[in-house]
Amino acid sequence: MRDGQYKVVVNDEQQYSIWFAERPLPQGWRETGYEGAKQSCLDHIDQVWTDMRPRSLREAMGE
Amino acid sequence: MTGTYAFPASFAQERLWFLTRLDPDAPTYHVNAVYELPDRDDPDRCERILRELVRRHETLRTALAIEDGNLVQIVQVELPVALPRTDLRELPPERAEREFGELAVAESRRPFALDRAPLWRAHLVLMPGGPQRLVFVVHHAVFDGRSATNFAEELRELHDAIDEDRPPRLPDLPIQYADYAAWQREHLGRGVLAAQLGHWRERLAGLPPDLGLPTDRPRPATRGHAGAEHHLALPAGLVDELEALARRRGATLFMVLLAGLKALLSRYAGQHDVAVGTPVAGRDLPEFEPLIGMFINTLVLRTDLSGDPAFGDLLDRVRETVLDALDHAEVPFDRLVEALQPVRDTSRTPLFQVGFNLLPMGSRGQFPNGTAQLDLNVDVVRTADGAGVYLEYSTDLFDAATVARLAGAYRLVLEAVAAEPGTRLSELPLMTPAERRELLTGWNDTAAPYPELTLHELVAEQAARTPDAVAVRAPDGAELTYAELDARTGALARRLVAGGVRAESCVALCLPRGVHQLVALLAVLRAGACYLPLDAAYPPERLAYLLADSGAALLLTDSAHRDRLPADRPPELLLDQLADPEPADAGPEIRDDGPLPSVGPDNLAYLIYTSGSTGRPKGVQVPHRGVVNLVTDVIRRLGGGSALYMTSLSFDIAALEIFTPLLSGGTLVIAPEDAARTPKEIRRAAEDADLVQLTPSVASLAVEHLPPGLPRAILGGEPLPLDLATRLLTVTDELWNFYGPTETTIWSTAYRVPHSPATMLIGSPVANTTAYVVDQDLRPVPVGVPGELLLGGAGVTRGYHGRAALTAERFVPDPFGAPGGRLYRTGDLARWRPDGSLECLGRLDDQVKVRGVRIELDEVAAVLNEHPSVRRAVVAVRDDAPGGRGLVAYVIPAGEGSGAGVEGELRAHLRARLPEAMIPAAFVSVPDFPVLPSGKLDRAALPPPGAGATTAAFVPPRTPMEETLAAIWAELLGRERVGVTDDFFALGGHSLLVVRLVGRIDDEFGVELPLRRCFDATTVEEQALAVLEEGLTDADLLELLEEER
Repeated sequence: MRDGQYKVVVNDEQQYSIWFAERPLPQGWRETGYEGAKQSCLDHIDQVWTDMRPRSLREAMGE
Repeated sequence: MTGTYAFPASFAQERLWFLTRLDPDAPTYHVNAVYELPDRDDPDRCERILRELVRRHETLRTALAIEDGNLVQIVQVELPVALPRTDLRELPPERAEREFGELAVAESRRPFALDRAPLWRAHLVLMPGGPQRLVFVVHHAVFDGRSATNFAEELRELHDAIDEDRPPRLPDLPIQYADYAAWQREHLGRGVLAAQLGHWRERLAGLPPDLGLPTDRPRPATRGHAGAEHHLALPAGLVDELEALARRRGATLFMVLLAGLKALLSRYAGQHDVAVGTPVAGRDLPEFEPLIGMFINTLVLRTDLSGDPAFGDLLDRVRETVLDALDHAEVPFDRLVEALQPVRDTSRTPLFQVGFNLLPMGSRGQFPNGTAQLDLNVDVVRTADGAGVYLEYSTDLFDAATVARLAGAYRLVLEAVAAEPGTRLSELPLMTPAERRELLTGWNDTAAPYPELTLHELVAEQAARTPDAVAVRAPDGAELTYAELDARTGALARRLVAGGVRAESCVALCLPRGVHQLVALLAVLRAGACYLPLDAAYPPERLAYLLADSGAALLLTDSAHRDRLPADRPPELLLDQLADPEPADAGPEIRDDGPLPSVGPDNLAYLIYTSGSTGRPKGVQVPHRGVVNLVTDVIRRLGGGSALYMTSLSFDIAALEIFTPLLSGGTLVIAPEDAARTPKEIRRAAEDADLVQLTPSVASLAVEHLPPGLPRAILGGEPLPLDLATRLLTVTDELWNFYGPTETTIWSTAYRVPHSPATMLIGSPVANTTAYVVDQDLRPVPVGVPGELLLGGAGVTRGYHGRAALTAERFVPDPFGAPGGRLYRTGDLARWRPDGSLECLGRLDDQVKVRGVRIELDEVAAVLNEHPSVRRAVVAVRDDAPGGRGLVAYVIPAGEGSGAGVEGELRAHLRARLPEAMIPAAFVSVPDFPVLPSGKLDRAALPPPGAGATTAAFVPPRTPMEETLAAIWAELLGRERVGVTDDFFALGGHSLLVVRLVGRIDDEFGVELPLRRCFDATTVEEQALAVLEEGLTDADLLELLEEER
């Protein structure tokens, strides 16, 4: 992935990733509202994604 | 009146003479055409017409020869013309067509002797039903595209004139080709050449020597001329739209078609600096127009396609490129080559490898004669219903299907830009929807059932089914049944839970390979936790880092290993000091502890640290799901049964060795701790196993010790060399090459290696796994085009422990598969083969380019491995290679012989088979390769290449022949002295000097050295040998043999 503008995206399992800012999102992913240079998006994810267990697992484990 | 005149040759003739002399028997530079003439019951008419054409045009009476070291045209004043005739009128039409085709191709392939006029031949064929066909074949040195038009027009006019019984109306020819050649030399001499050369030097500075178009086969060390042609039609509507686009942007159709081609090449090659060659007519004065002769010059059209331009902008750039080139079109191409790329690379054409031309309607008479002048040449010809595209390609490099795909992609690109000129380069389609579907869906149709359970649940189920079967066999012969294994595991699991282990806890294992270790591993899973393998052989800092970073809650080890672990560590349990490991006794008191934590397939099974080339090791969190899926698939495809457990647990693939038997009721055969390093141990251990799994590094040591008749072997973790695969296939009939990163759970693709494989592949995705090959915009690339390999499906792991940003960067949204899925970016370069299997081409980030040429390290190593004095070789890129960043070969010699002699031999061996850029700068002989605990080659531990031995010292001539040769060189190269190991081309030699050199060698030794040999033997030393060999007659040989006796 080349440098450029990206958005922070998240899926139903609350797993985070980044996607090209100017391109439509792959199915099953939504925007978080954060957009910027690649590194800044990744830094943002480091802040917000604190539990990397998928949502369905967290729920199954009774949380 | 007979006789000959001699005139200087033109520059174009020098070039073609030279190229032809390189491969005297190849018909690469033949021009051919078939002319259809009405039958007039006048059998000699065609011959009379030809006679008149020959009378009018000196070039049809011209030969080329060397006089006083210079190439001259020898023109015969008179040349007798006899037209051979074949009558096929009595044959059935179909058969006549076939025979005609065979005759035409045979005529077109017969070589010309350039020093004998004429440099053309013709053959008249009478076809059934009336028409006559004239097959005309002529050497490019006296003929070009415009000549073909002139020739056809004169032929017709002479024919019509006879029909109408009138004198022919043909243009006067006040000057002839020889006048042009003289004019050209004089014209260029007046400063034009120097000025234009200066311009080109600037325009082409830093031009990559290779366009980078992906080929189906490695490029041979010396370019071949075998070729074929693919045809594609462009409909009139499309051509009209492209013409309209050209008009709107102040460009020409040529520029639009060229811009489309450049866009295509750039996307295919993954390169932004794209140079394409094109011919220009070169008939700068009106008097040259009606002549027959070789006037064409070749221009290099170089365009920078960076910045992802919209096609309209790209077209503007190409327009500039073309106009600028036409302003400086007079430098003969060969002069350009000599000025810019004096060192000859015989593996590729200089300055450009792809050619392009747009021809007027009806002007391309050429039929394929089985040759290709370039890697790829694209001729577009206007037709009544659009345009025809003729792609002539080198069959050494490309398969027909590949060129057909490329042609299809060219049409898609042209359609896309005609519809929307604002389309960006990166968005241009290269595949039809059907091709795309096949790649994305067809080859990823891998759905297969697997249990929605955890690994320990499945082992427990197996124990319930086959309690008395042997589950584990230790190296000392001790055995454990499934029931015993289950009981011991359960007991320890309860202990762990009692000690505070919970679901998703991490428990470190630092134990030697053995029964204890297995019981501990299964107990950790059963307690709901994941295991972190620690190899006691790791340096203390690394162990400390892993313990701290993982946040391991507990450490399972024994008293022997405890002392090797860092002081700062989690609470520990010493397995050799547990009260009593016998399950029968230990059971009752612990079983009261209540239920074990319940975990599911998405909980973690293990945490394994991998080291990238940069940064700290990172812990990959691997859930049960992926392991269960893979083991299920391996059992389904390869079968279950016993397996040898030999891989270090710290390498994730060990999990496959453990769970394949335990999930199929087989026996896990534990290899002794250091089996990988003591191959003799392997034999004993492997005798009991249905399956062994090895890295190629270990396999190359072990192969001689493997028991013959081994049912199955899985190789993986590193590229599998072909020769090693061949040797392994003598031990086992079922050899698999697996590929996969830890991040997508052990293995993601599988390839059943056939007997005598031509190329090593990694096969297709395993069950419930998807594979995509994409460019840097994550767009799928066509079959055959290298791109990054992305993997999705059941094996995709959770991510990197505690590294959210890194996880988000490497695990990206899946735009192709199920909604919400993630794809792991492997960082490996791969490409699809036409049959839907994958070929891995190495790491994306150590893409090695030497002098701009992409190097496949494994390819170099593979060729080295073929040499009898090499036991095994690897090739690395190092910054400390002699002369800076470059290739270093590491060789384990096969026998005792080593040292300089062998290095010279290896160099020669590689030179004969690989392009120059792939020859390592240094060779290092090593007794063994350093291996990581995982069994993979430890590249970082390869020794630096020793200094020296590379700057060639001056070696004076040693024999009279070397002395004479060195003197000739010195004179030709304008040097005071020449050593016998100096390289002719490195000293400034170029193609014309080679011609002179050959002449001088003939004068001195009476030996006609073929031009080609001067490119193979580029030092005085080698040339002296070549002269000796060429000069030897059978009589000499007999004499030598006599002397021997």
